[in-house]
Amino acid sequence: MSVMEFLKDLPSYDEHNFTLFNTDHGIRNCSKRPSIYLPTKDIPSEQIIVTEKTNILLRYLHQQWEKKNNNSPKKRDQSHIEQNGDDNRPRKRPCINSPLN
Amino acid sequence: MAYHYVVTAQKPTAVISCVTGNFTSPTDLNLLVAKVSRLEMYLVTPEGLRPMKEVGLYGRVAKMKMFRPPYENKDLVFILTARYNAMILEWRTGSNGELEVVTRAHGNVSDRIGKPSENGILAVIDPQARVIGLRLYDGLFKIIPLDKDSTELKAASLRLDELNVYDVEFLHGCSNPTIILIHQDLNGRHIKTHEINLREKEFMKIPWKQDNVETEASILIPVPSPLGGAIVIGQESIVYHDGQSYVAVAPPQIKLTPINCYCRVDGRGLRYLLGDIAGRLFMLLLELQEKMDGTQAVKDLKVELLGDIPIPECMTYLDNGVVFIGSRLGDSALVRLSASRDEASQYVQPMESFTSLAPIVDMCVVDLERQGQNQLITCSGAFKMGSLRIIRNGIGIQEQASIDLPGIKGMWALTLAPNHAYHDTLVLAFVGQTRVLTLNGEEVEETEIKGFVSDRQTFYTGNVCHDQLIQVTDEGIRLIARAAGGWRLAAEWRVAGSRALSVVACGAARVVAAAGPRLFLVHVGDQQLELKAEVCMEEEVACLDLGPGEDEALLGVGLWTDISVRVLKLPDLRPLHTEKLSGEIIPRSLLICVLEGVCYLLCALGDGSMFYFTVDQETGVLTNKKKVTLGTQPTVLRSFRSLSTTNIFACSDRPTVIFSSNHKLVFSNVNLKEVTHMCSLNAQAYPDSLALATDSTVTIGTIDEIQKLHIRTVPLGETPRRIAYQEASQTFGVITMRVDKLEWSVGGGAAAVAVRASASTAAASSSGAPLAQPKHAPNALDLEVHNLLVLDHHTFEVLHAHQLMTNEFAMSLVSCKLGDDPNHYYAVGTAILNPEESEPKQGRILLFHWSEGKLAQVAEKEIKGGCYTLVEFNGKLLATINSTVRLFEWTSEKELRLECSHFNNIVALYLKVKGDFILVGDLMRSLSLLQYKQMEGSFEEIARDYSPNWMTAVEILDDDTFLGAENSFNLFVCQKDSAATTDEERQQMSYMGQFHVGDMVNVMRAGSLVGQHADTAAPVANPVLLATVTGSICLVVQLSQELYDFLHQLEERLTHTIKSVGKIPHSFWRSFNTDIKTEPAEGFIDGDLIESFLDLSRDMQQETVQGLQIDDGGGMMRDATVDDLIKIVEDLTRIH
Repeated sequence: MSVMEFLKDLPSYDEHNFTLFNTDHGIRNCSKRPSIYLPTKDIPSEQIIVTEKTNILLRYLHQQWEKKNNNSPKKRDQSHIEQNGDDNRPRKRPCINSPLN
Repeated sequence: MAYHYVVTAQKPTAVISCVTGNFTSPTDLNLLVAKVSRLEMYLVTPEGLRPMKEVGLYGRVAKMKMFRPPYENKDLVFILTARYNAMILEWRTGSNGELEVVTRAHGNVSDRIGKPSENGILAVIDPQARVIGLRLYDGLFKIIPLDKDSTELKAASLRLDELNVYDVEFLHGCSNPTIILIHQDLNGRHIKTHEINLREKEFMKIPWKQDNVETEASILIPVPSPLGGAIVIGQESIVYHDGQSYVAVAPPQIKLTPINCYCRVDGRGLRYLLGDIAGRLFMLLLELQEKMDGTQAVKDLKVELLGDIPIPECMTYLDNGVVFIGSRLGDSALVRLSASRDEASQYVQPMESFTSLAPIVDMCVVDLERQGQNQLITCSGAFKMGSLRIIRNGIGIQEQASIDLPGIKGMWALTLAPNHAYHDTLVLAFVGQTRVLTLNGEEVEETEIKGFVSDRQTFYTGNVCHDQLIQVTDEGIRLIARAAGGWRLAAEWRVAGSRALSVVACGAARVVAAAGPRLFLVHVGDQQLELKAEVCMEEEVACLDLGPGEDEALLGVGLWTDISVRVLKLPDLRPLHTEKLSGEIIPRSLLICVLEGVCYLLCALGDGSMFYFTVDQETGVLTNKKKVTLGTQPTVLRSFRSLSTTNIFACSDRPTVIFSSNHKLVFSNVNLKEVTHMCSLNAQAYPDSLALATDSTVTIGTIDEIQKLHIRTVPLGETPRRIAYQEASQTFGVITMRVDKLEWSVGGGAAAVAVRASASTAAASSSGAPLAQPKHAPNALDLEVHNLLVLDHHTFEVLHAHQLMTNEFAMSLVSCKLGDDPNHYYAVGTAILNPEESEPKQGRILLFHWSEGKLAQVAEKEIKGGCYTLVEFNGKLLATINSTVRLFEWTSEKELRLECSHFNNIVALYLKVKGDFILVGDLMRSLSLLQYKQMEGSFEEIARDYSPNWMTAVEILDDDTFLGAENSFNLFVCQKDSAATTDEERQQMSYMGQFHVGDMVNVMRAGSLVGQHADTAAPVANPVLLATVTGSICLVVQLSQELYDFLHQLEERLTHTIKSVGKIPHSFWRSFNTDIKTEPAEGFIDGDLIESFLDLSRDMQQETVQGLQIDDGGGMMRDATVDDLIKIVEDLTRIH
């Protein structure tokens, strides 16, 4: 494979770009510097990047705990019960004759 | 107390990162270049790159990435600074049509705990812009989900099993953001992918992985959809992997040197450019094949060497085969890829270079031309891009020709040939005569013009309307027109009365001349001169000039006796404005000209000082009066055009070019001793030139591009390490290092071969040890060869190269005069390196004498360690050798004899001396001060800074005050307290200032780049120049407490006026910051911030000044005005 194939049809965004670049006088040295932007207008930033303060271990434990709770049958989860509406038999029966508590 | 002002004279030039995208509008194609703390935005145009805006950040750019969220029609930029400030920036055109930079999001992403990764910060953005990924600390991967609708972007850390990560990228075409990484464990390097669950903020699963990729694999290139997958670049091989299958190649071309950067060429991701650390450019092409199911898959990887480029740090494809190569080891460049090879059989053609001084390793400050103005010679660049840079403040004239002609009183260029665009004649005025020179090609011969008087002194001559010439002498005005046989006098106007003409100003169709107090306005017509107006001033006219505006032009007149400047208006010479100049020195030269759209009137006085004003072109009112001192002799002001801008040349004993930059006048010294007269000259053989007259000669030369610091490059082709100037022999000594390749012969022996011609191999003569195969590493491919070069101080030609022994590294160099010996010697300190030892155990100090074109080694002293620094000290040689400071005396037997030593350092790296005092900078134990006891012949440690600072440079500011730079980019000032009551207090240096300069300072030298007798009204003392790894040059000066307090208030106000891009507080940026502490900056004024006051609009300046109190000179405080501030700050800008 020749180098021609490597370098053919190089991408072009605007075919005029660099067409008037003059290299007759050898390599140009860029001497023009951009003018300096000095912001004096306060443009509030739309978003603020904040770092989660939770310790990575604590978050992991929380997640594990939640996961465990999600996976195991949820005893106190009302929503769980409501979702499974057909299973309307309450898991806990009201204790009527408990001598204690 | 000690107060300091630190300012950047040369901004950093090393390119850290570059990206191409549509930043300033959906259709603009832009290049964004990050140079440490500066961002430069360019627009790609048919003519090349057009600079748009430069933005300063309050941080060092660690990573810069672009991305485009799906709801945006242009690209945004994500930047992470070295101190973990993250920001998302947008460039847009503001309501006033100016480009502005909007901080879309910002925040600090550092963690309180965590081990910063030794492989540096990595930052990647999901190709669909869903999340930003950061690897800041080992074992953690931080994600910033890009949620458009929330006001908070919540960054979260994920635990990463892989500790030693070399590169991370996001894969394309994944339903959930998926990263791929290269990591290393005990078994080698592996690649692994992780899918991120953005909601739960955790890694979900590992879609695929590949164990045991190449041991040196360090770069990942994600391939866009539909191919997907990633390319892994190793030392010897390149692998494409898409999860299911992989293609690996081991192209022989890439084996020699590691690839360190890449850029994608086409959007589909089939072609990539790869750059290696030797500065070679390759193209990687993915060859596709169609699979059974019709989709395409990678069949093969092809690599081709395209040619040589600067050693790249980063690169980016722009358009139509043009690529920007950013370097931190020398000049960056714009190159064009072309399928046809050039003469050097390269497929890469350089188009444009971007000057970079980085890294500056050493420098010396010398006054080569003995004009009282220093030049800085730096050791810049590395490897093939190594060079010396000659940096001077001001503007240089490149001499093209010169003629010996004494006594010139005036000089003008004319065009005599009809319809000719170039000047072909130079008219010179002398006392009582005028001479005409014809420029015939490069030849100059004397001639005559018919109708011209040659036995009088010409006051003015020039081409005027109707293809005529005008000549003004004391008698009057002569109009010379073209006739059949050449030129002839067409009209003449003689001044009436007893007074002769003395001064004159001329436009294309009118002449204003003055005889005594009388002013005449004479119109130039076709073959006629007509007196249009005549007025009599109160005093005699000393100088005058016509402003622009033809019939309605303003006329500026300087008067004798009452020392005033008058502004009159044509055509009736109506007086508009009178401005008294203070003092008793008469105005000698006056000029009205428009620079950057502002009309100025400048009036130079007989003592070399100059007043200047801005002129209201309607009312003629002069405002903003300012005074500067240009020289000590009467000054002649002339305007000239250079590179299509108008500039002013002030001819005096200290010639100065005055130009306008950012709408303020900048005064730049010209490196000529004296200029009495000058004129623009645009001749065929000398286009765009100046003719400059001194007392004895006329010089024709071209003027450097207008800029404050002028940089000339002397390429070396190898790495310069140390430089020293020896005035006695008019030479520079330079230590260089080159890397030779070892080539194996058939017999089994190895010979070192130079890779390319460089300064040491191409020297006029050479000496020293022949290269031998290194014993410690018989299989090494590369060999570092150190040389001492001797260079001519004018031509920088390499006169001699002395090669050191194999494994011997030259560490230090000084030019010295020792004891009673009249000779000046170059002393070279070396270390003999054995890679098995943690520090050098052996070294040498060598003394060389350069005389009559020969280098003779006069002494050699074996030492037990590496000699890091050498300085001349009281006629003796002071050296640091590993942890010790040792003093050697030069005996009458011409031997170096150890006199005394000091042992209290880890590694004594830097030395500075003043009188009997020695300042030592240690590797990690900050500064200590020694005193040499001459009587006892011993050292005494008198004070020390006990903080654990890792030093990179030290300097003595005054007897008690010391400046240090340490490796977390901070500066600090320590003071010894000799008056302290207890020994303990005396031994401890106290902190007098600390400041985050934001760059690694490699070298400090006392001195400044501004002429010592130039008018620097700013009350500053003890300037020290600092040069850094990223090619910037800073200046530190001492301030009085009053000025410090005042500037500190201004600084505080400016931090409110000037909003920080990226919203990093100025106080955060300048706070002294190391791994172990962060403390607010103190004792230093941020000169860069102070000087930006001048770039503010008048309204903003007014707002900033509000309520600021200034001493009126008599101890009373009053409200400061904007003009007070401008004067103070402009004075400060002139110290660098």
